[in-house]
Amino acid sequence: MTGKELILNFLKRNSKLSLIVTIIMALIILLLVTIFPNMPADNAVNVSNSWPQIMKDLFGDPVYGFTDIYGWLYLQIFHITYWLAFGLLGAILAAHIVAKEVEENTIDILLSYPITRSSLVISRIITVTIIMIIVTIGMIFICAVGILIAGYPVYMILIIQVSLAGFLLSMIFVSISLFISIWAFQQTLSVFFTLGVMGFFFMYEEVLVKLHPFLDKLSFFNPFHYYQPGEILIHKSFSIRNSICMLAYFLFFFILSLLFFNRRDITQ
Amino acid sequence: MTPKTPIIELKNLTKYYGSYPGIMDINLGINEGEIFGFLGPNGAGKSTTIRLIIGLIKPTQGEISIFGKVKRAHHLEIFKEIGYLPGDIGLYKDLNGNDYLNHLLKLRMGKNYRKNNDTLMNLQKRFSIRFDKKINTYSKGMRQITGIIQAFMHNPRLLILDEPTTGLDPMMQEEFFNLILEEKKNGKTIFLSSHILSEIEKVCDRVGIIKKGKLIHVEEMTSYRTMPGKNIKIEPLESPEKTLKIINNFVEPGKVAVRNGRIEFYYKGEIQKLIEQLSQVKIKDFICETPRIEDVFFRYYKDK
Repeated sequence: MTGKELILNFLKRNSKLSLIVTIIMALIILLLVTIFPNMPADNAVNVSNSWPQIMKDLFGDPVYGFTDIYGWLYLQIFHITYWLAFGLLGAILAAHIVAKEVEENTIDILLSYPITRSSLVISRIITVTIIMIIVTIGMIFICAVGILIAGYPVYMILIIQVSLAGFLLSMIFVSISLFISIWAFQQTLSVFFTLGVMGFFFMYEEVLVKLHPFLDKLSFFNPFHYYQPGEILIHKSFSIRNSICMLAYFLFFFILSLLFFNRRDITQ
Repeated sequence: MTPKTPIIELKNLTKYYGSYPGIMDINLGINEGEIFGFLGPNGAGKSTTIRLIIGLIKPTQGEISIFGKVKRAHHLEIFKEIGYLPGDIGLYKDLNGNDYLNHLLKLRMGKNYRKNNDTLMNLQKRFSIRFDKKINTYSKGMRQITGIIQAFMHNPRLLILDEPTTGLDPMMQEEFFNLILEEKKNGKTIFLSSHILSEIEKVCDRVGIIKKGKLIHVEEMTSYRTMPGKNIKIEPLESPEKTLKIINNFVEPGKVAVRNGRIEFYYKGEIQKLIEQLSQVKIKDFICETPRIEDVFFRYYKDK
């Protein structure tokens, strides 16, 4: 009952933000999908050749993106936009788990109740996961609708696989933000720090890793190494190993957060 | 006869914030059914002690047991029976008072939360503020009342209240003290911290004085009230030296204060003898009064 009450209360108090972000993203996705240019292959090659390599690394290669609806989905949505929007949402929700309570002094009363610190964090992470799953299901539906409206065949399996990868990456944002927010007890710092760290990881995987072979060898620690929407949507190749690695990444920071929170003094 | 285990027992409790001492070597037992007042100025260590008891911060050294149990191993059992009011209260601003209190009641009581609905409603009627309004519209006093209600609404065995009357108007303060005394009659134990001496005087059975992180004195309130001696204040017509010379035969020089031409001291001897000696000097004003709690507190605070 206590866990259920914690989940319901957190859900009630954070559903508005989640709904707003989801609706905005749904509209953006619908718009982006329906304006797919469907360029002839030759034109797409010319556009690709005119782009500097760093632009193709950062934003995706137009050869795939401008000729195939799923390549377009990768280029416009899953390469950056999806994880930026839902990673940000996840980071904010994670910061609300503990840091918001500390900043607003509401945690003193909460921790005087018969609930352990672990159960507090676990029940709220469950709530964040539920929110992110609902959001992901919504995005799967919107992508499918957008592709249908654009008049192309819907391969649900591809959309589900890439959305799963996006969901797992968003949960990594959640776990890193949770850890920072427990360390710093500040919402804004934890959200921006998480975005900064993940932004660096993205740049590392897309640009820096090509500078030297040694940097490529180190990329196993990078969550973006396992987030491969291009492989899924363009080359129709989904790796369960990548999903397990992303899940492990999430669990690592989540368990670290739990252990740290149990030892942390709640100072005013 | 086996001595009773105190409800709260602190053994050698110490907390350092880095190298800065918060509290040092506090040994204290709070007995069942008593109202214990924890007295000290701002920054003395009252809130640190309370936060250690609640578990918001971890001790550097020492032990805390509540209901005879060590906190860590019996966290859930212990906290079902505690009502806590923090010194700096924060509530969920996006909820209204009713939703917030019901949420907390469900957290506390689980499936049995409905059993305490009547207690909650009675407390709400007693303090009568608008609980249907959002908490972000509440004044400081209204937030404090909501905090008080959440501490009492589940009929806890032990109440830990950190500066409970902050922000309350005189009528609400009176209502609060009535509530405290009723809870005491029901056998509840109350640990109450304050820097307002009149609050302590009103309701407490025992008082502990904390200064710079150390518990310097613990005393029954009855002994404060029946302390022998009087506060004497003399305003001589001439310069005070001659009067001081006479007074030094009765009181140690360090225990006599001169403020704005008035000589003040605490005197335990026979008043008649003092008056006979003082007849040698010309006096403008002579006051002899029973010590108030403030006088007793300041004396301990300056002496120790």
